[in-house]
Amino acid sequence: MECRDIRKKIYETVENGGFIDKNAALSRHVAECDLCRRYYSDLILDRRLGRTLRNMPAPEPAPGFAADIVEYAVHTHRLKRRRVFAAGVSAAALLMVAVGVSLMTFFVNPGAAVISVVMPVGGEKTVHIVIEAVAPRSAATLDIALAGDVAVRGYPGQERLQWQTDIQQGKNVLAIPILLRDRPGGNVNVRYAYDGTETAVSIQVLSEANGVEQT
Amino acid sequence: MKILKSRAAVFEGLVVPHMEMLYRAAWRLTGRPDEAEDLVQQVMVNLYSRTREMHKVERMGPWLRKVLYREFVDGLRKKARRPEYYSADAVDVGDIQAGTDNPEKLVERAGDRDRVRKALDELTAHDRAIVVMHLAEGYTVAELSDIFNVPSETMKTRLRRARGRLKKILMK
Repeated sequence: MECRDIRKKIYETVENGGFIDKNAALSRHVAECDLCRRYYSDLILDRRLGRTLRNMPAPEPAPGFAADIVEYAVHTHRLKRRRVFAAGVSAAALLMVAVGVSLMTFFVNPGAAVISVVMPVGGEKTVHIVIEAVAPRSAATLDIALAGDVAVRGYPGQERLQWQTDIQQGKNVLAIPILLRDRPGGNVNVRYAYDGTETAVSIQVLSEANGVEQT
Repeated sequence: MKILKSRAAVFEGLVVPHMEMLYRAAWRLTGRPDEAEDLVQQVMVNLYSRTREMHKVERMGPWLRKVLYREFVDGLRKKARRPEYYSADAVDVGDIQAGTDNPEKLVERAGDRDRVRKALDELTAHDRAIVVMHLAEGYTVAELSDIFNVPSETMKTRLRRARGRLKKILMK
């Protein structure tokens, strides 16, 4: 048998928890072949190390560890959500885009579902989208998808933000601090879904350097 | 508020049964209880918004463990000042061949928990992760290369070197 065949048999033997001692042909070869001997030693060593590692007693986590961590995860998620879904219009807003009285308007009239904002490269503008609900909505879904060289402040590298929130009766304002990273610009697509109905608005972010007039 | 509580309950039901297993895996990776807790916590923070997606996971335990490993590896990457950990001159032949003269002694020492734990502590976080994931958890080179986002040949080399360093430390 060639070394390759021998190693295959060695591997099978060790994988099954055995040793090659009972196989005269393998034992003889390993005694004479340095490389196969090393191969066999390495497998035995790995097996032993693996067993030791798996059986190593780990310290107990602190009491209430699991509950505390879940609570922390929920709390952190709420904080993040509040950062994006602002309850009121910020006085520091650089730009206010009041999107009709309801996003439903855009669903009915898709031609109006695209708005444009113009800003310098590296700049930031906060776009406010007004969602007016005729009744409270529980667990409505808000989804922001980014395309191109745009980002949402506070969420570097994330191209998708999705969360569920309760919508109050009347006006709800979604504040999106948009960053323009590079000249070609991009799109920020906002989707609002509730009870099987979806409405969407696309914010086209353009660079001032492209000579585009704000509409 | 009501919905968030409901989602929290669902999330809790999905992850809590696996929390101790995750903690043990995190401890094996980090070697420190406080870092293990931080790692598990970060994983949970990241996963909470994916609660719905998690319903589709068939084998939650292995899936969570893989998420934990990815988070750990991402953390290593962020901490690293250099994108590449292992330069050619960082490894000598002695690292790789350590222990080959006395394999029986090496195997004996590999069964000594205290000695192995101390040896792991002397490894870099990267080497430790590779060794633990491969030897204790049974991740293949292909799976490791996927998690570490490196070609499988690179992972083979890293694994060989990590084992070599561990052997060398065990033979001290």
